[in-house]
Amino acid sequence: MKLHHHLLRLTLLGLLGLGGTARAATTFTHDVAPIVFQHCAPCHRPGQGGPFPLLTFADCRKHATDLADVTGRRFMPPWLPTGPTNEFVGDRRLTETEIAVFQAWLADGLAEGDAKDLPPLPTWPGEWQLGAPDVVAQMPAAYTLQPGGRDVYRHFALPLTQPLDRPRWIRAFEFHPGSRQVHHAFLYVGRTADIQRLDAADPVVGFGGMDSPTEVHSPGGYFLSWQPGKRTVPLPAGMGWKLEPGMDIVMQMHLQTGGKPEAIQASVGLWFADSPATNQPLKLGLNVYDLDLPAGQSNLVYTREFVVPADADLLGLLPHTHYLGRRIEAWAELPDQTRHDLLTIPDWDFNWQGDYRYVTPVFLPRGTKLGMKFVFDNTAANPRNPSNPPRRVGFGMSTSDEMAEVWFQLLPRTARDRIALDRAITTQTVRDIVIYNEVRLKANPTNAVALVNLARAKLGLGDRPGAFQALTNALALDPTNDEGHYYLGVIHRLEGRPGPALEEFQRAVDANPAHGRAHGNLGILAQEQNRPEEAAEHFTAALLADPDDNLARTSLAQIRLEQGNRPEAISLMEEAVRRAPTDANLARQLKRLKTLR
Amino acid sequence: MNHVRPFRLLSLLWLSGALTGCAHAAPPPLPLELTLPDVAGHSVQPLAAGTNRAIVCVFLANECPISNRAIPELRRLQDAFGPRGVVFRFVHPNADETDASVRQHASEYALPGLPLRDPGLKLSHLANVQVTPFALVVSPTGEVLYRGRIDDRYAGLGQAKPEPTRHDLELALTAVLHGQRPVPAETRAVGCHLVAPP
Repeated sequence: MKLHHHLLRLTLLGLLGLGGTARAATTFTHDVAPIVFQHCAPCHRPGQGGPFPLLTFADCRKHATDLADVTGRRFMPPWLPTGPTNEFVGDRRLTETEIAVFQAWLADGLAEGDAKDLPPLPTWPGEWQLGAPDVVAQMPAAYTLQPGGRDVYRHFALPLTQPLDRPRWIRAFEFHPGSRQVHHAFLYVGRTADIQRLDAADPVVGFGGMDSPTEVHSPGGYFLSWQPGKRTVPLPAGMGWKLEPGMDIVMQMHLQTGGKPEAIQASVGLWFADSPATNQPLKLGLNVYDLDLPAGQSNLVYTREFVVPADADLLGLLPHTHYLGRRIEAWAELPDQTRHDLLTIPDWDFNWQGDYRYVTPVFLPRGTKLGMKFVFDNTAANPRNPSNPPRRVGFGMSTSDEMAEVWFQLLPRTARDRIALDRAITTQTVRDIVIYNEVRLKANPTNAVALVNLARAKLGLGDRPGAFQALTNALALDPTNDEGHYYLGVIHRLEGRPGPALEEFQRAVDANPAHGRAHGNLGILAQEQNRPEEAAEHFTAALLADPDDNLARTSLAQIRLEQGNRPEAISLMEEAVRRAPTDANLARQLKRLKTLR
Repeated sequence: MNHVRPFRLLSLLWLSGALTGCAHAAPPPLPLELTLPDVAGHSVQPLAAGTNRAIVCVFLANECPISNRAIPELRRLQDAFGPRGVVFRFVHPNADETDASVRQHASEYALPGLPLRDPGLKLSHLANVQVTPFALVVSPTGEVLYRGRIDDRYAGLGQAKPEPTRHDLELALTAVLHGQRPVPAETRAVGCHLVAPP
């Protein structure tokens, strides 16, 4: 509000200037402070991400040349997209007029100005932007980031300081990195037991690197990213991501190494929604796996499209590439063929990556074509090129490889729209897994894991012979691959060969005694072959590996009932219903069980 | 120590400059008798080489993230070149810093020795230093053999590589120790502008 008044004043002064009066000199209190307080100070103050404060005349005067420089080149405030302002939540951009103020202040001699013109410093919220969180998740011990060397990507377990007594839907999260060396972060969730195991396996605090272990994932339908200065904005009513008892938070952090050791001990505040989420978005990821960026070439363009088969609202986007990606575009081509630009980033900066949430979601009617385009520059003229001289680069997760990826967060309009969209995304995901693993295998034909993943995807697409071949090849390369044996068992079972199926599932658990699904299948086969006690052992092992396996649980309940152990059968069924509260069938079975004599 | 050697070195360097047909005259050498205070109040002649082969003056700032990020490399170079007759002088030119804050910074960043201050930006102006971090490699006769960035990590503000690909200061020092001129003799430094006295 105040800024508009000042601009109006400046304009009026400018207009007066037409009459021959000299333009008033730009001063800190009158012209610079309002901009700095609103756009810079939120990060440039003690305890926040900026490396120095910008709260006073002395602060700004010290850095005046840099202020004019970084705002002029739009390096600061950090905001990568161009296009209409305030389309996205938290748009930090300065107007051209505001940028000109810094230049003018420098030119006019850096005067302080009248004290009465100084606006009050904003009052920032206390520790948490939304007040006290409903629960805090916290790193129990600090990680020491050593100075020098490459930046560090690492996952950190943030156990909840208070366990959940029931499932919760999270409407907002706020990340406190505890150090300004944390340059950006992504929030994942996972089972406490899995996270503890991963953390314990690595002697240093944290685990993993750029590639996330399969045990942790983004909550379904959401990408939860953080960059310095990120505002905590709650999700609309009806939305929220689910966190269940027995789950914890994992933050994957990008740590920028500095000049001295740094202790990193982060925390996350979580706020609950009052009721379970009813509006669950879906995530669509468009990726390009066959990237080939020859050394010394620029203007290397890659595009990808997806037709949205249902009515949906686009809530946000998450673009991603590494150091050779320069320009990113995403658009929607509506069924009437009008093009709606969704996101344009002319000068990508890996250090400022994050997701962009629409202030007003964009409606995509059924038949809309979503598109993305990446332009890569693998020449020496690309200032961020990690290689000198440039070298040929392909697709990969590490920062010495490249990626071209945009995630779209879509909220289907109706239940039917949701089914159609979910199916289309699943099919595309599975097809992408095939492409991705074929690319991996081209680079390394002996990659048994890639062969197994390829097989699983082919199975999902109905290509059983293709899956069978890939699995056979995988197991020839690595006979101890438990997943390979498991899926071979699945194929044998699907094709009515219980004997070979049993052998393969047995090999799977021999290779990995904690392979829950293999135990589950062995249990079912044992049941079919009238060996209930053996079946019960396998179902018990399956439940140990995956407490969510309700099929194993209900199967075990059935066996216990047949063995005359009704109390245990009831107890198991009650647990099954507790884990799947909306499953009417299960509820009916439990009710029937309880009324049996 | 043969006191004729510096003269011969200087004339050789001057000759080589003439033979390559430099487009502009080399800047005048820096004054060897220049004194700067260190952060314990002693008066130091940073450009006096004594028996050393070169002086490296590195201009740093407490609050500049680009300057701070260069420190591990500077320590590495000091470890590598110190024993070979290269003296490192860390200079904090910014007028807003205090002796206490600079001492604190040196301790936190494990920078050995006592950093120097540059009241009135005397040396900074003589050497045309505009940003931190900034490196000068100075010969025993005060000639600036190399000036500019420490490495090529930053092509500009907001334009950083994940790792430097050219360690310019290291290359310059290696050249000097081999009796050669660093090429290039100047690179564009990226960093935070100096803070002048009000």
